[in-house]
Amino acid sequence: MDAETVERQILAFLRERVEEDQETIRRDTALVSSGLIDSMDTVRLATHLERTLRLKIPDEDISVENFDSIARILSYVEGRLGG
Amino acid sequence: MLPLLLGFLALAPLYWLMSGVRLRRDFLSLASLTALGLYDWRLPVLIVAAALLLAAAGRRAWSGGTGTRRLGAAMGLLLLGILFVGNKMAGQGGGALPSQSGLALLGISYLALKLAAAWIELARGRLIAPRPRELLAWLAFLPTYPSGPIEELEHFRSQDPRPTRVGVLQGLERVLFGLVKALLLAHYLGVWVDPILAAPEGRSSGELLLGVYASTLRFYLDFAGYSDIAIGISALFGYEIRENFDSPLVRRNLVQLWQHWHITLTHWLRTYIFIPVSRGLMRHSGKRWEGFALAAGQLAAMLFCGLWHGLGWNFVLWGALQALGMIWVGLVARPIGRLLPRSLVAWWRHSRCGYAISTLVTFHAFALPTVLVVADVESSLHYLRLLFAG
Repeated sequence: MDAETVERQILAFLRERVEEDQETIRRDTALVSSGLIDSMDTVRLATHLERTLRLKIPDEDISVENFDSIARILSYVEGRLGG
Repeated sequence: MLPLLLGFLALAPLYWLMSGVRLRRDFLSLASLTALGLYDWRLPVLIVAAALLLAAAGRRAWSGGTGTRRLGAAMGLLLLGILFVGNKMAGQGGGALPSQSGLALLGISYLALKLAAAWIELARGRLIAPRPRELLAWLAFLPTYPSGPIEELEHFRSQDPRPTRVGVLQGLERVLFGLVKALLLAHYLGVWVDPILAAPEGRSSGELLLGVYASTLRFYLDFAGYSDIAIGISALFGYEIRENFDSPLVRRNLVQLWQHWHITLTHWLRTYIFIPVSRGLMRHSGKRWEGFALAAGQLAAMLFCGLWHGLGWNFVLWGALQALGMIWVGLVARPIGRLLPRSLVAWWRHSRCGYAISTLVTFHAFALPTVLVVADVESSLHYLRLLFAG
């Protein structure tokens, strides 16, 4: 699974969930800490990634550290798929 | 409780003369346990026993398998539950505010959450062979012991506390801010509002509404004030403690308000209740039931939050109302917002008018149920009836 596919999945999720103009969301835009997405969205996003990318995300990994930006999610998913 | 915390400040100069992380940490543990022992001899006994038990379980679990870890954690959580409920029941009649500690044993509510987190991390295999001295320092740390913030073990033990001149001055300033909030502002708001809450009959709606505002503000100032004092005293000893309040009463919706109110508590609730409950239900249901799973997780977390503040139907109802507000924001209002024209939503999100109205509505949604925190269900409903009847 390449980074582009993962990023497409994240953006598809954000397009559905975030009212903010999609153009303004960059790789390093803060998602959770800025309030763009909340804890319910984060859980949904984790479940969405599990379903579409066929990977297991433990509950304890759903944190601001791993989900606060597209870049962080990419890095986390890369680590999970690599591991 | 406050003299205990302020008395601890006197130890700071001696602490500054010490060198080496271990010596400083052990000195703080000993000083904290002694201070708590002077307050109530049972506290140091309990803390030392909890640290030793957790350390022993941690060593055994690390050499055992997942089953051993989970069994150990389940027993640890059961013991904690018995201690927490017993303590709450023995202390019925005390208030929910840090300044009103009416519990049988001081600080058990916070200690229980820290220990519960450690036991759960142990079950998850993420608490690796904790050392008794580290656990003792973390559990007994006096500045945060009585009323938080709830420090995570990893954050606490990863620190290399080195008091600096700037840190000490900022810490003292923070303590002063906290004292003004808790002792001056919250106290006098309480003096003014308590008679209104106790006897609402014969008062105008305006006065009763002001009573709700004052009560909410008092809650904020009391909790945030004690957090400031804890963070400030910790800074004097070179420790950086997580922030606990970040202007929660001026947030656009209830979810955001709770993300900035008692931040370390909401982090705990999210990590150990909301996420596991929601995800557990999601795994056993299809995508269609996602909303239900999230709502159930939110409800479970806020009901626990209510019962953690006090064992009573008023706290259950208060937790349920807060959960309903958050479910409304996440599962109803936001989907409705997505049906509206994007330009209108963008204007609402970025305009001062949208911000003012959202904040005002959010504040009232949070503040009105707080009458349940200071009185039983019947008295609270009576108060609200008088308020709305005019």
